[in-house]
Amino acid sequence: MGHVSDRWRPLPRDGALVVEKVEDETLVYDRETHAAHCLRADAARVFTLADGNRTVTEIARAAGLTAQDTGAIVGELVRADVLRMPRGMTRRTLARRAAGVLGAVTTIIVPEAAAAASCSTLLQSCTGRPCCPGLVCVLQPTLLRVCL
Amino acid sequence: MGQGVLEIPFVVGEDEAKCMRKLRKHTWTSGATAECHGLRLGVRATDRSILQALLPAIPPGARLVRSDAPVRTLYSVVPDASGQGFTAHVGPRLLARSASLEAVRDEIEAHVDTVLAVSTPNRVWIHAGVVAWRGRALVLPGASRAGKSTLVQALVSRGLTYYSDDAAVFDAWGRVHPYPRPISMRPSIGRQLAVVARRARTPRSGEKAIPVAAVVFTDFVPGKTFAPRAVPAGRAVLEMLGHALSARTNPSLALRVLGRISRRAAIYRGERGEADEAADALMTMLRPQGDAPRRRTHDGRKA
Repeated sequence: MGHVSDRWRPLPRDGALVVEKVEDETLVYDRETHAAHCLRADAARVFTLADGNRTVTEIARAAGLTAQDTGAIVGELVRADVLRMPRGMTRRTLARRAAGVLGAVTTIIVPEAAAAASCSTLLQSCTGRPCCPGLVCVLQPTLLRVCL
Repeated sequence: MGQGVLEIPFVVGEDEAKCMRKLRKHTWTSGATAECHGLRLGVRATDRSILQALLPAIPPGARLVRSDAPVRTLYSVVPDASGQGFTAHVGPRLLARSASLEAVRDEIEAHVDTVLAVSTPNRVWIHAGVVAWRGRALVLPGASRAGKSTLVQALVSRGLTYYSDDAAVFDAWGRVHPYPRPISMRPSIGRQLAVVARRARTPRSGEKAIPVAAVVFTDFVPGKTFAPRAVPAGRAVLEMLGHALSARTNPSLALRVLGRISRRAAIYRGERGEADEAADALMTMLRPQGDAPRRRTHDGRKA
């Protein structure tokens, strides 16, 4: 199938992943990195089938996808760190082999609470929340941080 | 609320207890302890008039409880020695110092909201405006300065019920709870002379938790015509996570709740121009043929 070894049986990463199926897409949250991934329908099927018992060719057959597309999707899932990296392969090699990215995985880093909250305006404190765009958080002689 | 020398029991670690000693030199004469979404917060001051000015920082829906109940978050506000301003601590940590007590109150309010968002069990908090129509909610997630409050104000003026201008609080069933702080209209960056956001009065607000009819992601872009497009459910969850205040503390709950909302509600995204035009379009969207909003099919088309 050309992209990753056909002897390799892709397997999800252990432990830290929280998975939620939403209609035909799948959301995967990584508790270690706080990255949230949205897997498009085809990537969601590949992710579900990647249970460590099937080769990429077998996954392609079961998912109703071409081996080439499946290989590219598997590559994206490995780069997103939701599938384990095949033994003996580096991220760089994988990126080269899984060329022709399909956009099957969309990722965001979930913000910390303070970063998602309202921002501070001019002269407001930035101790507990970030400054609004265009302002910077400056430590004052009073030991208070304010937006300027 | 108490008067006289007051001691609010504060649950602290050893290091914090050491730092708290410097606050012991003050005589705390007024205080209040409030409970909201299962979390207990305390506010204390050296003067009753200071406490009165701080009370609006207590979260909406909170109930005042006995001041001898232990709290995990304690705000202490004193006038500066110079008499020129006020200093607020949260626990032993300096939170704010300002000549304006109103500005100190705003800092406490923002801190209270963040503490609640990360600490309340079984709730998912999203940075969003919320209004209701016929017992169902319209949720408007957005970053700071995206124009949420302006749009909420425009929708409330058209008869929708106010729920919140800054925080959508979802329970495990995906229902949104009211969190009606006064609508806060901030000056634009170019006219940012006022330190404190201008607060309107709190409009008449909803009291019950209600299901979500629609979620609309929209930012203010001058001159833009509002033409929202449907967002697939999974992408909608991802976008809501980008505005979530509490997803990191309980990602399983966040995914489950936001997934449930995305499956049931109509989800749209689109830039908007003036709030009035967008509010009119949203009203039309909420009542096609005079009834409930249209639902999306699995492939993102409107049914």
